Amino acid sequence: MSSYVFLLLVGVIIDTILSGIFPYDTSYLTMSVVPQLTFIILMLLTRKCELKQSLILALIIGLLQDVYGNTTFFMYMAINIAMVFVAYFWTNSITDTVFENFFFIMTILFLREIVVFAILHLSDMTRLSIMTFIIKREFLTILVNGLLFFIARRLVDMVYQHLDDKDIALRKNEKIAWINMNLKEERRN
Amino acid sequence: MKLDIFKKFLLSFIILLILIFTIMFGLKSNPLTNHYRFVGYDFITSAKYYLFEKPTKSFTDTIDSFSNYEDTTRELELMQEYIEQIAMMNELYKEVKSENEELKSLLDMKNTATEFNTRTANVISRDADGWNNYITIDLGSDDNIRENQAVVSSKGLIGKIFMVSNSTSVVKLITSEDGLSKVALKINQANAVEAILESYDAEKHYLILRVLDNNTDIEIGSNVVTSALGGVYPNGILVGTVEEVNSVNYMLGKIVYVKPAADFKVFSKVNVIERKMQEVAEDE
Repeated sequence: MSSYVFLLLVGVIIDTILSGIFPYDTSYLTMSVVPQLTFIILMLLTRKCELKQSLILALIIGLLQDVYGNTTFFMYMAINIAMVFVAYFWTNSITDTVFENFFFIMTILFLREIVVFAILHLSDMTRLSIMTFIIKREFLTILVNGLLFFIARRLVDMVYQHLDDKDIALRKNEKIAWINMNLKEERRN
Repeated sequence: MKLDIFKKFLLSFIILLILIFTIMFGLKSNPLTNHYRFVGYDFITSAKYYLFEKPTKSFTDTIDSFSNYEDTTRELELMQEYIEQIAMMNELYKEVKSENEELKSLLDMKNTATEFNTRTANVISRDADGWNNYITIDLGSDDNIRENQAVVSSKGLIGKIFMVSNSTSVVKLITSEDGLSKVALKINQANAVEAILESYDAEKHYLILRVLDNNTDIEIGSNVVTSALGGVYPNGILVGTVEEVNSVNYMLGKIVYVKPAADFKVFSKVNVIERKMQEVAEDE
């Protein structure tokens, strides 16, 4: 669990750096990018984590976004949890190939953005039309996050590799302990 | 009905969520929790800015200055000419100012609505998702910043102080579409007209003003500035220029579309405006 939290923290740091390099244009004169590396990592972790762990991570990330955002009360927390459920049931039907993962991440990212837009539109916090939303925000966001997907996948693979290596070392030590125990019994006999 | 482990977990998770929701809703407006929330917000925002954003920005600015070397040299030459003119304008300004002070003392006026102090602040955080139209600056109540003070960039008005904590403040931009950034404005033309900033039209990229007077003609291209009649902002801060005027059927007044003077994509330093009249009123 601590490795997953560390990975999400790395995602948050990279998102912070990218949002400083590509600031959001609130006047919608130019196209904007919203880096979502943290969310992509969360969705990739949902594939192999237990549901409980994914939900707790989604809750923490959503809570931070809500508290930090100052106006969206409970919204990001609920949306992240809902997306984890969607990802959990979807990933049961797909394999671990890069193409399938890429398609899954892009779709769920677009779904999340649409849900956020719908909620804000219904609560009258924005009067942006759907076309302006897609052209000025979504187009570059999906494009750039598509590139970030490969970074996220690499990071997640590194963490799983590290966890697998730890498991193998642990099992190797257990095997050696078991062999030593057997040898001792044979010598006694 | 016996529940399997997954359903038990799901049920307990939903109950936990409802509990968190209820507690958060109950504590949201509690001044004590707000105080600790602001303390946490200050720390996280400042740490994020000074550890990651500022070094990144310094690096990108350095790269930009190398890649824009020729443009920078040309700009430098233009700036040098402008500075020479400024020296002359400065002398003229001093002359006009001293005349103004003399006239005010003759009329026994203390402060006018156009007088204000400015405090320069760094923008340390922007709303990354972009929906809330907030920025955070590195001045707070410790620096005598108060709610509803105007915030301007080098080109014009950008917003007002929305929330103040000890060392940071949150600024609500005038490009907000939720209609919570109402500002009293004035259209500077032969017959000055009072107006209210209602919201921002993200489709047309114009600010939407409402003029409550059907009979006044509004000239396209007129400058729109802040009005002191609202009691919050000083007079005369540039907001934008009139681009379009529409009459509203069956409703009082006109809708005026104003092109904002400020650039909302990139600004790293802003000024917080403090009206001198406000200081005098509070002292009294």
